[in-house]
Amino acid sequence: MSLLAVEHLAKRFGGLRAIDDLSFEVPARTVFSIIGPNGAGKTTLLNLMTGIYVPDTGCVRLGGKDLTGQPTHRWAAAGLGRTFQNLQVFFNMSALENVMTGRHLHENTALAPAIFRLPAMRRAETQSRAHAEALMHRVGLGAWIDARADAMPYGALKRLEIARALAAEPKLLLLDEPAAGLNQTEAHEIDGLIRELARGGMTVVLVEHNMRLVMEVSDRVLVLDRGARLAEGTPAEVASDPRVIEAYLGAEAPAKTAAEVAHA
Amino acid sequence: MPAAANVSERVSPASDPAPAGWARRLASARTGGLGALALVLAVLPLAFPNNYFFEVAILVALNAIVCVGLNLLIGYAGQISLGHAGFYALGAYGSAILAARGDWPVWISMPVAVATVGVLAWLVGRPTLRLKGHYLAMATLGLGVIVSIVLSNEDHLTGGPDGMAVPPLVLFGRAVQGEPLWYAIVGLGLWLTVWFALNLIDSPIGRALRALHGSEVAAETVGIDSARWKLRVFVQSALIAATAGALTAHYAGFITPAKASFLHSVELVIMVVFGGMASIWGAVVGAAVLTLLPQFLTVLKDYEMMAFGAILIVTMVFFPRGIVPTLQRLLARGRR
Repeated sequence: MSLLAVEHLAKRFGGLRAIDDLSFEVPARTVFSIIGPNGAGKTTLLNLMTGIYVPDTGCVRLGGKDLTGQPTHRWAAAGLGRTFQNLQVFFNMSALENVMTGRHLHENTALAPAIFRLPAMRRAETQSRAHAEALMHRVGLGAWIDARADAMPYGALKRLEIARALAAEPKLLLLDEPAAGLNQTEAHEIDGLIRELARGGMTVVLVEHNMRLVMEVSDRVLVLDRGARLAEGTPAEVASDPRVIEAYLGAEAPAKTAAEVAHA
Repeated sequence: MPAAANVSERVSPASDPAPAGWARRLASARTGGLGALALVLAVLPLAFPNNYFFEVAILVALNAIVCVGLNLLIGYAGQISLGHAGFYALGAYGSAILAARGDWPVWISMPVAVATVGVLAWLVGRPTLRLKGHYLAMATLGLGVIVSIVLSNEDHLTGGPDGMAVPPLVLFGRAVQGEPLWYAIVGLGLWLTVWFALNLIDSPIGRALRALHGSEVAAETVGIDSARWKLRVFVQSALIAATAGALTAHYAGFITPAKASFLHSVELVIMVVFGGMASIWGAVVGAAVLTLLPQFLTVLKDYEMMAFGAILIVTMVFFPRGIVPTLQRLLARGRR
């Protein structure tokens, strides 16, 4: 059975159909990429898939459980982790604490052990710290463990978000343009990381502009255009689909108005 | 900023505190700070020439207790309460009325009054904190005004604007009276409040609260229920304010509705901002400075309020993050 199922999803912003009756399924243990030209509705879709937006119609199921309309933290509890295209790092903490915060769902948040700093709490904190440190090594942030988040460079912060999301032990990880703003070498390191996650059994949903990355790591690719499915298949199928080429290169397609491009 | 910045191994983070650093230094700063606070609280009375100094010190400590709680709400949950004077006064009057009119022993009336305030805060916070934005400030502003009016008008219960006498706290058959004894109680209370708050901030709960402050949307995506945590910290801060209020009532033996005023709520918020948001020590420093300042400024007579305002403005210009965080930042820079 598929891990994530999107059924007849629709979201309008005023007159704009950002997502228009979209359905697809993400099988477990695959890398599933969502691509599309600017304004295709990728970020809207991601926000609908994490509870940040509520859809007008349709639903999203994770592991068979309908989470439509639930607040974001419930989606996290159900096993959905994500990173952000525009960084959402906790800049008021150290790098390690950022990752430790990702452990929230697995931590004891009772008041008494915290305010009295009971021995059980200290032990749990030590474990949480060790877990977070291991994750930081895993994503290649070994050198930044004690750094302040606001002193880290952009590329490291991208990985920090991935480590924080992994700390929650999600079933499905949504990566929103993990390679955006990175140079070639850094982008290569990210796709090594994604492949390693996939080998470890993680289901990854990738939204990305970097075609080389998408083609290299994906098992399946969904192409969005104007909020609807344009094509879906293996990277090779999608790359040779004339409709996809048309949407991307604009060959023989009616020119989009500036307003459409600027939107969403 | 993006592409040029290098990742991980290629740039050594040497410009930052060394690997042993940041988090652990924070922990040792905590122990050192708590030790220093204990020392100051213990040694200070030796220099007090008369009871007036004790009275002022008790007032400072009570305000500091309220501000530490309020700062958890303002600094971490990012919410403003303009009704904390209301919670403070309800704690005071609640316990006073139960003890004076109902003949309850004070050691029972105090916790009952404080718990009731907690329930009230929960009722106000639950609907408002689910909404994004500063609805809590509006709701607590309204609540504070209502509390103030009720306390001034329900003469038969509260004595009206003239205030009411409050029975003393009786423990082990003896009335707890006298400034030095109350100083010891309130000083211990302050020390415990600071200790609890420091522990709290450096725990999974504290990370959840700081995460809300850092990025609410990211906090939610790692499973932090923002509405629930804001509500929890709001109720806790109201409980702390009510406790301080109840202690004030039984210490002073007399209370008036002045403490419930909107102005007092604003004063508490100013203390937090002045000392430094999201800083436990900032709340203590803010409460101490702004409680003591008017005592010194009385020599200026008519110009007192003007001088007070000028000092506030100048401080916020030179210490924009509040006294403690700005000093910490300067110190950290100096150390590099």
